[in-house]
Amino acid sequence: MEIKTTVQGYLIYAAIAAHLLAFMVSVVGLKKSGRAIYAVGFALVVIAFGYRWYHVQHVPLQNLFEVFLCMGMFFPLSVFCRRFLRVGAETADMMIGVIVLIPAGFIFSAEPRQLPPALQSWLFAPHVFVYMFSYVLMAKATVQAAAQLFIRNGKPSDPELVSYELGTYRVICLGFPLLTLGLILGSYWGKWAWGDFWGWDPKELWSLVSWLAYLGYLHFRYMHGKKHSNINSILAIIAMVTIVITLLWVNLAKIFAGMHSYAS
Amino acid sequence: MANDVPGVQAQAAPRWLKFRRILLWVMLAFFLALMTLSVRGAFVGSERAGVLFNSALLVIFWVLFLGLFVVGLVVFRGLVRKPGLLMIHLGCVCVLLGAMWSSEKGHFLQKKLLGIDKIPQGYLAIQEGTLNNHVEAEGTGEPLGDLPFYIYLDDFWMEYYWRPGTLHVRDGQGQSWEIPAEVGRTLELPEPMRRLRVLRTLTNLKVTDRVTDRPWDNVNPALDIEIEWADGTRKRTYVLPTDMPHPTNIEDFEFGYVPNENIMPKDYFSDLVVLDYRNNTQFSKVIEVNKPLHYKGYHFYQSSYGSEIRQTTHGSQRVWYTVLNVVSDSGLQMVFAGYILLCAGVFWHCWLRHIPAYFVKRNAKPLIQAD
Repeated sequence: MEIKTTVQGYLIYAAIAAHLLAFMVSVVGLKKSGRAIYAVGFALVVIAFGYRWYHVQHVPLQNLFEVFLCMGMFFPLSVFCRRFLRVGAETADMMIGVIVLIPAGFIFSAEPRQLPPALQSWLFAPHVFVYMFSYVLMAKATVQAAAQLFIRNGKPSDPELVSYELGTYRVICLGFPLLTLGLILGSYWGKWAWGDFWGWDPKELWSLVSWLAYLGYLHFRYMHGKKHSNINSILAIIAMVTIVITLLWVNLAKIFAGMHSYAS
Repeated sequence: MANDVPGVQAQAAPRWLKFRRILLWVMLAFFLALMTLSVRGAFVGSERAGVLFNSALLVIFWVLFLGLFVVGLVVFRGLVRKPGLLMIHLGCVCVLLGAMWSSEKGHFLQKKLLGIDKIPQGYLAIQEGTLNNHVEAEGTGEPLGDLPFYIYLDDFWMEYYWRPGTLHVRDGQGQSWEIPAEVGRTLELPEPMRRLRVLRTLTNLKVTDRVTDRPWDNVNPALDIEIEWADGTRKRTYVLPTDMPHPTNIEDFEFGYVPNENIMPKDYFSDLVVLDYRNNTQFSKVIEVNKPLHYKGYHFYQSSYGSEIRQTTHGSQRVWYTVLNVVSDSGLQMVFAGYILLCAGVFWHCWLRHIPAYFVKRNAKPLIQAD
């Protein structure tokens, strides 16, 4: 645990404070004010990300500090889900922002590093961006799945919004193409960087596990629809656990040595 | 099935429905098996995972998995009728077929069935100024075969991320000073001088009348400094590294630059010449990480490098060599085609096909207008 007494650190702490305030304001019922403060929090994260980009002189997606900072830029996706998919739980999205920004602010080192030769590719930014946005979308889907399991009748209070089970499905359908694209871009990049489109690296294998987990959810839902809503939700939550393992455990645990260890 | 057209469902025989349901459960079981094997592979490491997934038992698994896709495309007419689903499943078939064809067993089949004799993967070490076509296995150095052409290494070099070093100054009385070699840094000097200022840091100083055998070498550091005398006279000069045989001496002062040793490699370059005598072809290409050479069914990747001391009649000499990862491109086009289909299918099915319906719904007028 470290306090970052730098401009970068202060920007992140301000963003955390804004997200937390937005969450508390929304919880007490002031939704519009909450959204406005959420937007301010998003702007602060964007400034922090841009500042980092300027400071390190390359796209800041190399280590866990940078990717978690990137995941803090979730606001537009939250708005999109509400506006076009009629999936709510924006208050939970604000808390997701707090959860991903806290490790960036207090845990992961912000020590800048130069890009090693393998990362100097035009595929670096799309591969990581796409994965990070898919991860936050799957986190939102997990919130919907948990709400389906624990809230009676599985429906939000706002009649304009869809049920939590359908919300889980819609958000997973939004995030799954990004998860697929991230996996494919990684494989394609691996071919040009290392000579192999699949090297059986632990990161690659866990990414495949998380992709298959969501594929299994989609196939199960195709088979049974909403008949087994609880099982659908449990599958979505299990799939999210595989994402957490892929993102954190693989990078941080010494037992998973591989080519992606530079991200730790 | 939940999403089947109800009319079709009503007409389909119950046994047929049961068969389709069993097929879907079998597919889910395959997903679970592949997930379990992948977790196992992640724990044992990439080398052992590679052996596991290419073992005889897993070959059977892959063939059955592929068969499941093909059967699914036949049994589920919806997969063929819906373009997104068709692309997704065809894409998976292409990826599996391409991956199988590119494997070691796939190369064995290529040789047996089609007479194509290619080395699946190996390493090629080439010293500067020499050519080579012997591909070896990693680690053991076991010979894997010869390429049908030669690769000549014209030059190997590296680029670095530069960090500022230190500027050293010493006067005739034995006094010495040092400052970080950063632009804008100043140093107060005793008489007859007054002050020194660092104007520029150069990573690759080129002097036009100097001949080198490494014209692309990016490691020729120098400092551009300005010295001011007590009477206000100024002089600008270059300061070279202290290990160079020509220090910068002005009056009784000696100036030397000590570059930072903790510099990180930015990239590695090999200037290769392909010599294909059978086809009377010769061309050169500079490769680096992420930019391999592709020729006659092989990709050549910048993998590693090294140097060794060689004894010559003129004394010892450091000779650089590059190590290229040589990979056959068999099956690669099929895999990439599969990726394109899979990606296009997923985006179409999950995202794009809903867009027209969204706008139609949004623009639809209600049947009864409210007063």
